[in-house]
Amino acid sequence: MGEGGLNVAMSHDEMHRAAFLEEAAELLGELEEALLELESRPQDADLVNRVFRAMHTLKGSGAMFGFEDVAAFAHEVETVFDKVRCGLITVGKELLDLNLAARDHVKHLLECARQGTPPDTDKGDAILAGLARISPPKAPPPEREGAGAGLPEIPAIPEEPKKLGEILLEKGDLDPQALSAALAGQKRLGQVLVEAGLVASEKVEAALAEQTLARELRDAREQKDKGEQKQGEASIRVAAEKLDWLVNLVGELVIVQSQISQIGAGSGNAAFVSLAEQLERLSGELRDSTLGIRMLPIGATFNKFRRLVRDLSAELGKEIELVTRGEETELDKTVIERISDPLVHLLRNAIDHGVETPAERLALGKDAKGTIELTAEHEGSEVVIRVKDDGAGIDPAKVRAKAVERGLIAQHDGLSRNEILGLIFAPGFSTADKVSSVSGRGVGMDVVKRAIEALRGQVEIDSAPGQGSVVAIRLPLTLAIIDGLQVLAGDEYYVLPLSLVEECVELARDAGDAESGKQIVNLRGKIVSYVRLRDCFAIPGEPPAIEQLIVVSSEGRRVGLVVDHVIGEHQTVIKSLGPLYRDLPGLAGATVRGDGRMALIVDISGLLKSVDRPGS
Amino acid sequence: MDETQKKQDAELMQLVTFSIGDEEFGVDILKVQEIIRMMEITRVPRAPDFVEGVINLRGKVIPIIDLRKRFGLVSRGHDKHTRIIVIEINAMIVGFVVDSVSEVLRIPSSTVEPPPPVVSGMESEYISGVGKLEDRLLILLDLDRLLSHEERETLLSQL
Repeated sequence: MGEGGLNVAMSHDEMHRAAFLEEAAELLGELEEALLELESRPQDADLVNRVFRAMHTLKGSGAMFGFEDVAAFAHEVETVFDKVRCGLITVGKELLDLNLAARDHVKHLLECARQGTPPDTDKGDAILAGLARISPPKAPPPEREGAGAGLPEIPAIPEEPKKLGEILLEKGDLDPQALSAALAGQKRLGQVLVEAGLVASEKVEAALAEQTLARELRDAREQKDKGEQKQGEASIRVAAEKLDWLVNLVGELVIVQSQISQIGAGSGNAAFVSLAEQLERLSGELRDSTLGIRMLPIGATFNKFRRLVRDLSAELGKEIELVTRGEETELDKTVIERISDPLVHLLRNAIDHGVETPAERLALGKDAKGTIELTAEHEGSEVVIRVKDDGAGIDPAKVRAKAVERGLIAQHDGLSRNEILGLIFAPGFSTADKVSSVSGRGVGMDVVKRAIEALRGQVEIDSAPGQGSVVAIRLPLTLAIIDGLQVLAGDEYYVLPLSLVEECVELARDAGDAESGKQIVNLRGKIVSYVRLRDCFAIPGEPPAIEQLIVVSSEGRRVGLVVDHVIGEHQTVIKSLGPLYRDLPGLAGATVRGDGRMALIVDISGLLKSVDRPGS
Repeated sequence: MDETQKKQDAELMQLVTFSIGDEEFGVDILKVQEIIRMMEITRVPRAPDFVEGVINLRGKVIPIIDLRKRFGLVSRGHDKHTRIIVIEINAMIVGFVVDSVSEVLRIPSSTVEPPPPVVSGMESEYISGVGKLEDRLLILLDLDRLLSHEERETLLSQL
């Protein structure tokens, strides 16, 4: 069957090239990370080594899979870093800038190779010229071109012939104590040379230091190799497509299993019930571990932003440190891929509008260096990602004035502080006084909000003028399965996302005042407005005398949804309704109930929006 | 398979034929995934009018279009002959409700004529041709076009 089969039409060559491109993307990521870390720890030999190895692998595999220009370019860069390893060049800002540029250029070359467009060679030449400038004019030390094109230097550990003392000891010609005494009296080579006046003592010191460094390098490398070997054994690369297919199958299995459980419960056959229970447990575990496979730590995404913050703050003349926490927090692969762009937007905003220039900060009595915190953590069944800066913050009065100016609210609208800050997410809103190359065109926060809502997440902002802002993004752990609350309206089943449900109360018909058209109810002293699902979805028939009011929280407000009956919790495997039903307001998808019937999943915020619009 | 056989196959069209009202229609058999009996259709609120709803076909959600409604014929209840023809269109699986499914026909492509400019009450753009059988006519439907037209309309109306 077509849809189940995976694309195997790729030739082996193409597959290898694709695998290389994927590997290269990872290497580039690692390269960037190492270069940025090197900035704060320029002496770290291990980091220098990581850079060298990444470039080296790029060169080697690039040549193997026919990316000659990548290989040639990487070779030049590698040569320079080889000199760094040998201590001929010290790590400095210029070197790092050039290497970051070089990394970008390799990426560009790969991109061109993928799309078959001619690369921009001028840029590459400029980088190489820059590298040539900072690299010492003298020929590089030990040329390793012949032996394996610059393989990392791995000092051979030869099967050394036994030392004289050892042989004598073995033969019993010498006793160990006498040997140690004789050895203690022996002078070391450096000492001998200095005493003979052949070499100055500083030179010997320097040589010794170099030796120590080389040893450390070697040890670190060996350790790293071991670590990598272990990793290689513990994980395999799987096409994302295959995983998606697996998740799909498990979703269907869960549905069939719940049907079996339902039949089992009604059958009264003890053996069958027990089998159904086992099946339930197994498929539950299978579902959890399958979804677990798709989970990735968000750290890789966070690391991508270091570069962004570094480059952007330099461009704007600001000093900003990016602090990340919770890198190990895992999210569904799709979510991770799609959260990157909104986060870039938020970071740009924080850098451009949030954090002030060093002079301004000093004048305000703040540390000249601003801080942006990027954190991720679990909160219940959600993951919360926060972007927090200690910059200027947002002035609600300014936001309000702007919103009035843009006609988003009326002059006298009474809005709470949160509601005012929420206006930032309205389309076409921007408080930036001047438009910069980075942001301020007023397209931004609404895009962020939409992207996050598409991931079934929510975004909120809080800010204190002068102290900074924090934007919190709440995301579901996975997109494939949600905990839902199943309800009945008429004879149609619907599922509400349980995470948004606050409480369910009964609503007697006469309590509401449908005659006046105002649908509000006094809930323990608080006024809650509500809508009937029957009305929203044009469900035929008369509602029962006692309906159920489900209080949900959506975008900071509490709203009631009225249905006929509440059925209960339901592990909801989300299925798309397909392109024919794309953009239906208020519906997020469908799911299959235990009895094989379908239930539609309600998109609460979409539903409320569609109800609000004609009303207001 | 030898050359002559291949040639013959190329000239023969294999069609699944079905009826709606008094008319008989045919669709290319390669487009048809399966034919199922009528099952419970879940209504989707706020959906375009021509879509009846969705069904659960072994765990997959499939939209259902009532061809009777689509062709502007009077709707009538489903009976034991009513079938859903499941068809793949533009990488999308869609079910079409028809009054009954008749047979699988092989007809030589030479007997198919281009559609007349106006076919009784139906926009002719969904019709890829008319097949002349011994005693009757068969309307060949191009469902790809039927749907993309509808989709276009839907999208336009939502703008």
